[in-house]
Amino acid sequence: MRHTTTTLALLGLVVGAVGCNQPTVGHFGDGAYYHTRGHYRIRYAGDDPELLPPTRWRLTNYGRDEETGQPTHAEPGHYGYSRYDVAWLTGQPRLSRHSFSVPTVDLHYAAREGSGEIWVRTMVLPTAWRNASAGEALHGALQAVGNTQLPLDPLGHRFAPSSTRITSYGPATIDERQGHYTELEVEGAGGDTQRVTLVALRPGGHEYRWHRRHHFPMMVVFGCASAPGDHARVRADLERLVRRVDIRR
Amino acid sequence: MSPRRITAGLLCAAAALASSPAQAQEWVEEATAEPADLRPEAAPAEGVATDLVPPAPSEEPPQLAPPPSDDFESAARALTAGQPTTPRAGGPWTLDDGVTTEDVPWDDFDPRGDFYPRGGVHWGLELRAGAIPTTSLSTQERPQFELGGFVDLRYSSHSPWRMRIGLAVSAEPYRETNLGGGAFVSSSVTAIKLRVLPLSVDVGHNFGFLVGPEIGIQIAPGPIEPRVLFYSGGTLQLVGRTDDGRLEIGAYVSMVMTGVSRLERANFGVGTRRSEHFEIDAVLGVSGGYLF
Repeated sequence: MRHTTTTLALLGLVVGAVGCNQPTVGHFGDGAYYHTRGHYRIRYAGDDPELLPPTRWRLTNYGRDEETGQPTHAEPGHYGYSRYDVAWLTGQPRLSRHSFSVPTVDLHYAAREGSGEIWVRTMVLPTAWRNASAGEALHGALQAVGNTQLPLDPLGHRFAPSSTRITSYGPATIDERQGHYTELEVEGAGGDTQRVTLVALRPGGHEYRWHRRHHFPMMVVFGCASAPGDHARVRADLERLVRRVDIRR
Repeated sequence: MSPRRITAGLLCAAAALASSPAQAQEWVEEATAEPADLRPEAAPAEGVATDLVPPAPSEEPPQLAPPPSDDFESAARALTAGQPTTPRAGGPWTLDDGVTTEDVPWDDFDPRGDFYPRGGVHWGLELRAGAIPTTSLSTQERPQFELGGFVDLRYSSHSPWRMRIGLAVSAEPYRETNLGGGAFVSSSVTAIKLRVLPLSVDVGHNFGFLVGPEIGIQIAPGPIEPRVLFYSGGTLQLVGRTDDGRLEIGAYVSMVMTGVSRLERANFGVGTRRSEHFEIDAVLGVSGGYLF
């Protein structure tokens, strides 16, 4: 009995120590940001992780090493986690007791000056959407804008809009793959308007593995939002970032 | 969770999605103008704006109450029907700098979170110096030295778990003890060990914990003639590593089943009887290793 207790204590110690090292979203490697699920990376503009977007942007969802100042570990912070109900994703009521959470944003940047934010989000999609194109999935997900009950809001639940309008949309090509872009105008309850650009991509061949028998399709959304007057500059920085995205073959 | 909250959540979700497929199709049908050029200097297209339905209000913070999946299937079908298929003038918005993973290899090693040394397979050398401090054989306490090589396999590039397979040769001084009455006990001096450590794990960047079984053969000179004995045991090792993960210094506990030859000469040398058996001894020691 004593040996069993000692063995279990050692095992717990090891598992605990190992668990502390598991990245939850992604990491800043040598030359690129890599998502933990391995479906995409974003190369730095130079050798510095600070140059993922230009230095006028501040990374907000990562903690930093106290000595080097380099981003080290994800801190979802107030963006939190999106909770996915497995029964809802699969359409199988027998799985109603199961759910899992995914950080709402992979990366989030705020403008150091002026308005604006840039984010990257990996969303888990219902299995019924497995064959949907990026455009179909993005427009379907836009139905969840501002609805905190649904985890699919491509804006990451950052807005509680009184009205949302699509101003333009169309196909986009990201890393030689067919994607989709959509522009929105989101009006808040206080009457302030934000202009939003979303670029969506389905990382075909990569699925979110929740269980060995349950894999879910994913969609990556690159987005930016700002006041209308700042949006051309913000969107240009988003474009520079998305141009350096590689999808793993 | 109360039934009232569940019901409120379900109603709220259903209200939010009930009009969605039709609304989604409406977006597409009404968007007749060419999509805007999204280059920074270009303005978005005018006249294609479409209102989205705001989310249904909720009296209290609802729990996640997912709608039936067929609602989403309906939405997907509606969107499929109206999806623009004709690219705008000038083609799709191209967001690609032309660099591929062939140009820049996919190296997802995390220099701050992953485990060194880089790569999944390494080979290495290890030297062990230990002592067998206690014994039930009445043999004297003795040192043991060991030199071996190993292959170190990491289960996945981000995993702290690894397996180490090694082959080692150990040696210890020959000890022979006269137990009296014509009985002698002699210890083995040389052993060849196959060591498999499938439960090796890195604890942080600078420590490692290795445990697993060993099997092998060991050669005991014996009082009369050499004997070759099978050997099985185990080892547990705690190591500290340098930041690059290549140099290891550690302490270990190993279990040795020492083969014993016993020679008994009864009746003044008439009726000599010889036997072999195993006794378990512990080995405590320090180790040093290097991974290439």
